[in-house]
Amino acid sequence: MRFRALILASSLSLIPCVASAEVPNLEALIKKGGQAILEYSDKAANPYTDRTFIVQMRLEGGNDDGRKLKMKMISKHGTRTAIRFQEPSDLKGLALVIKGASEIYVKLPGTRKVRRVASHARKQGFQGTDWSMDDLRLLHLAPSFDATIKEVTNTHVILNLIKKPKADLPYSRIIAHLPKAHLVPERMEYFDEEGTKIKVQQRSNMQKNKAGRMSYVSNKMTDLIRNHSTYLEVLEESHERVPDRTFSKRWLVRGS
Amino acid sequence: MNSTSTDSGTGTHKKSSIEKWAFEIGRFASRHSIAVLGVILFITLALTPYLTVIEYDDDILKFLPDNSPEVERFEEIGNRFQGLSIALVGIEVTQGDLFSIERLSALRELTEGLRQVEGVAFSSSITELQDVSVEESEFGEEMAVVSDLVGELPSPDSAEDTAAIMSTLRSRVLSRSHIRGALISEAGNAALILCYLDADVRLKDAADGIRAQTEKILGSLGNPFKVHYGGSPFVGSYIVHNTRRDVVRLSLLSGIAIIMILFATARSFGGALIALASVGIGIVWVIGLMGLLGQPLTLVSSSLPMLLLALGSAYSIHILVRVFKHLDDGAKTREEAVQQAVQEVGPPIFIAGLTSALAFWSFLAMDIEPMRRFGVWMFVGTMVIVVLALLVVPAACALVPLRVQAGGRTPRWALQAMTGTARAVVNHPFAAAISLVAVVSLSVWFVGDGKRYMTMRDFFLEGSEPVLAEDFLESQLGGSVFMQIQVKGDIKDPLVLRQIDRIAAVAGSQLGVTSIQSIVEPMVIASEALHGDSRIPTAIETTRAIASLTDGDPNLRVIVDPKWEHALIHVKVKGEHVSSALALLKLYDGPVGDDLRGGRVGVLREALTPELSNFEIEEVKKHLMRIYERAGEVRVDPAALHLALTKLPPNRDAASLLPEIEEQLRTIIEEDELIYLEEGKSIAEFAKAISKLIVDKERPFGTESLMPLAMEVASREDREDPEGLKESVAYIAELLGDNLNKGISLYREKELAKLLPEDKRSVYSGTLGRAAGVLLDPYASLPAKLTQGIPESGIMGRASVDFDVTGSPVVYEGMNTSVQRNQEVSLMISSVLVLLALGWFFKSIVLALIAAVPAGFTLLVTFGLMGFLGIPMDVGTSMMTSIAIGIGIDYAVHFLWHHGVPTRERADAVLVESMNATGWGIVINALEVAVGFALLALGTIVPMRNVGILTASAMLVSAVATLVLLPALTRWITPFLRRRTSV
Repeated sequence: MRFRALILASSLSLIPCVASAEVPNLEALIKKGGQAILEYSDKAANPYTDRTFIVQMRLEGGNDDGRKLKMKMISKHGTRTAIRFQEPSDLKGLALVIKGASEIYVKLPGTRKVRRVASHARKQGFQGTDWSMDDLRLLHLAPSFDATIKEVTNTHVILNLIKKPKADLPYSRIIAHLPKAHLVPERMEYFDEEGTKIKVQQRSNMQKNKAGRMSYVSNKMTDLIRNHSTYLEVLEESHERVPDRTFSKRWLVRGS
Repeated sequence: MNSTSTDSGTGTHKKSSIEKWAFEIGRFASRHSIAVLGVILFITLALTPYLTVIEYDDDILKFLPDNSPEVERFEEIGNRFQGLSIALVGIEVTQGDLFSIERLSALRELTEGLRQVEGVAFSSSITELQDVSVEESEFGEEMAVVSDLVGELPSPDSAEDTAAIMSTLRSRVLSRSHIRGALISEAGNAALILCYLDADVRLKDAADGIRAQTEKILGSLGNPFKVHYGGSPFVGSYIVHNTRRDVVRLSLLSGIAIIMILFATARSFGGALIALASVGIGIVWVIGLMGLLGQPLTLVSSSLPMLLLALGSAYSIHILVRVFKHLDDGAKTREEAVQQAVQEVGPPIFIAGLTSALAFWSFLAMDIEPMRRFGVWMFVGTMVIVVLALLVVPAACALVPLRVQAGGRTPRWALQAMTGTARAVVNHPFAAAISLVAVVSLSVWFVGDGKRYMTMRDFFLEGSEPVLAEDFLESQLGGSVFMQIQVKGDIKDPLVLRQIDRIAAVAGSQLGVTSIQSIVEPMVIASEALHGDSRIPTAIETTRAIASLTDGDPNLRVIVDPKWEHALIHVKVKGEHVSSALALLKLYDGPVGDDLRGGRVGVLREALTPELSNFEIEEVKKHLMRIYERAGEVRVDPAALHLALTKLPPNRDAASLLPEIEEQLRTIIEEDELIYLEEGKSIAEFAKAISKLIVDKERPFGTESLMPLAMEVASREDREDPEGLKESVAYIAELLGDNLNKGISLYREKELAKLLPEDKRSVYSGTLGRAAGVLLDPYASLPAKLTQGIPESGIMGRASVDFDVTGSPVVYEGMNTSVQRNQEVSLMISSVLVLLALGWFFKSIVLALIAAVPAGFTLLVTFGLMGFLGIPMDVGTSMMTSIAIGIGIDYAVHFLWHHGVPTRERADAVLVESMNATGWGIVINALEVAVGFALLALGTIVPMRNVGILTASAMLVSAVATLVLLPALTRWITPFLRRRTSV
């Protein structure tokens, strides 16, 4: 039994923002090397500590064929996430608080009980979704990867990210395409231990948010092995302070 | 009649149009022998390449009747659930068990590798399963841990204590009762990989692909396992490969044996070759034509060459024997001998061929498409061989120098034996009649005693690969035969899920059923993980959410369709008990099924009448009885069962409840912050009030009664948010209420388990608890027809359930029934057609009936033999009707054509003459074909061996019946026939 919607939901916090429209002194960063660019990119992609989204997901491929999910997602520091499903009707009322793969609190509709779940499955996203719990840890790439510059084009800096020896991730390598304008990854290609490209994440539709910052509002993750895609679209976004108690059973039961 | 028996009772002989026509053919073939043989050789060479392009269709489902509900259901369900064909790869560790890093890694690699095989929709084994366990978190709270059952394996050179890791893993895996004995053996030394095949895949190809992939993967890993291949795809593949191998190998052996017998009996090597070549050419033509027209060989039509050899060689032998006779009698030229021979035996050959062909033509009345096609090709084949016999044998005999043998070819002893026996029957009618009646009675006694249902074992020899695999799967992993029950309804609805559980329980109670897999098990596991309750959740919102959360899991696609409108219950059955398991069909069609299908209504407990409550208890008891039956305990005392089901744990007062409630409230308030307490208020005080409320019989425990207590202790912030506070209070009420119910449920579970022997309790107590637990749900699930008087406010929900049974045993059962039915229809039609043809040929219905006697006798003895040997009536043996008729008629026509109905005075002379002219030919043919077919008994596929043995016996019985019975019958009916003729 694979609870893929939990994993799908947890991936929402990966939707990046862009700190500023222009990168100060790109040439100097390029001279410093890939790792410096990656560290800058991590910061640029995660300018807010608190974020509240309403997101729509669409699943394509296999039996899904356009299945849609809509949910409200609240995150803090990129480490804690609270989610409440709005669509489809079967999932309306499902609420989750995710503090990591080992600490997920679930409240199912039709009941008030809250259950703590720890997920230690080997291939969580395998066959069920295009995202995995491992992807959650990729909000910041620099701690897990050693980056070198693969190519610099007129528009992009392309980084080759090699997994650090101690990083416990299913990807041996990622190729990240960073637009020179803001250095927040626009395209990520994921490779497994055997060197096979297994996933591609494509971000698009950059729009100015309420705070005046640019942000990708569309995201497509494709699992190349299963020929399955997950589309994310941000419908609403705010960055107001989120109280700590949001990530609690109280929030799950009472909604506040 | 033939000119040699002009004094037969039918009057003076006048050359018939058939005889004239036969004479012309013989004359043409002998005069233009080179041209005739040249044209035939040319056509043969032209058709030969098509022998190699002929396709082989191994789909056994095509042998099911047209518009069969069993097939339609099987195919419909197969398409809906990714196919119902399951290939089983059993792996066995000969020393030790599976729990080593290398072996588990190999099992995982193999399971994942098999998904790459074309036609495999999905594969699964213990390495692919997820597991839910309940652990205590670092804060002491209960936590469901979802993990892989086997999980990440340390590398072989890991510094970790791998022995300890493997030991823990072994205990964990073998403690899961739903897996142990089904996917892994009790001892942990054998495991099963299930490969679900695509609905439209060719089973043989998929099975071959799986075998090749398994050998490749395990070969690269140093072959750590002994592998057993089971399930219908492998069985089908084995049949196809071995049938082909047997046909080639045994055809060769048969050919040699036939040549030797022909040579020994006809005493002419050239003659033997001519006879065999004539049939061989016919077979090449027929199979070549099939290849040219794109007609595939099927499991049945692959026997076409052997059958044509059996039926067709008689025609050329009769001509040959006749040619030899004329040569030996001093014919001036070979051409003259040939022309005379064809004129004499041409007509009976034609009519014998026609009647045999018509026997197969009757297959057109069958409702099995490949059998109809087979009938058409046998008709065409028989007629082609008749025509070729009339052309090739005369042409070749005219061309090839044949040695003359003075004194004829029929050995004196043989002639004496044949005539002596026939005379004995004529002279001792009473003794002969008694013997005949005895044989007929004995045959009738055994007719129908053949096995009614064929199991997989009936196809193969002891010690063969499929039987060894079956033995392995039966002994270690619960069998290899699957039945499926398709349930229709809103599968996400708890009312439907409960019914699925009950339907599965009925299946599980059948003898030989070793494991059941349905959507209920994952639903319960998910409920345990996400809800903390290892039962089917009661709220439809909860079950829908779980369904939605787990949707997309490939494991589910074989038990529920993507729309959750159909669910499948997989029932694994031991092969030896398949017929018992098939009793399910009757059970579900009867009152048991009526109770389980139809509308169901969820009625809130407060709206239940005492009658409805009793009805619910009775239904639960039936469910529990099924579980006891499955556990092998059928003598449960109904009173003890009722008591265990309705018993409540010893009453507890408020004081005894207090510590438990206080501990729970402490977690709810201090850790989970569901309620902020007003300063000065204590958890102990709140707990005390709640414990009093719980034992208060006047006030029902729930959100309404708890809310005032919460308002007394809640902070101002919470009091100002009454809706939020109400949610928290409802949470507390649900949690405490559930815990109280859990206590009752566990108590009853233990009481119910006590009715089982001690060794069965741990295996079945959870299932018993789950079945009994529904009595504690907020509503009762009842048949809709009983709830008409319940007000709408008391109705929680409505659902409808229907189901049907399918699976290979059901399909084969349908096939068996169809074979029987078709057999009867074919027998009736072919009998009428053959009698009409004989009546037309002999111009006498009495002679037609006499000519049919050997065929009828052969048929009866063959069916009796089948019963005696326990040979089942299957698709293969169902051909025996036509074979027996074909052979029986052939000999009778030849003999009767020559023998006729002589006058009493000439009878003996005619008998000797007929035995000399046709008797030996019949013996030669019967011997050569009987030996040829008897060699099929050396084959590896049992049905083929059966057809071989039965055909061989049919040949001999038919020959004996013809040579022994017909002279007597013609003698006995002479007066009657004369009267008729005189009229």
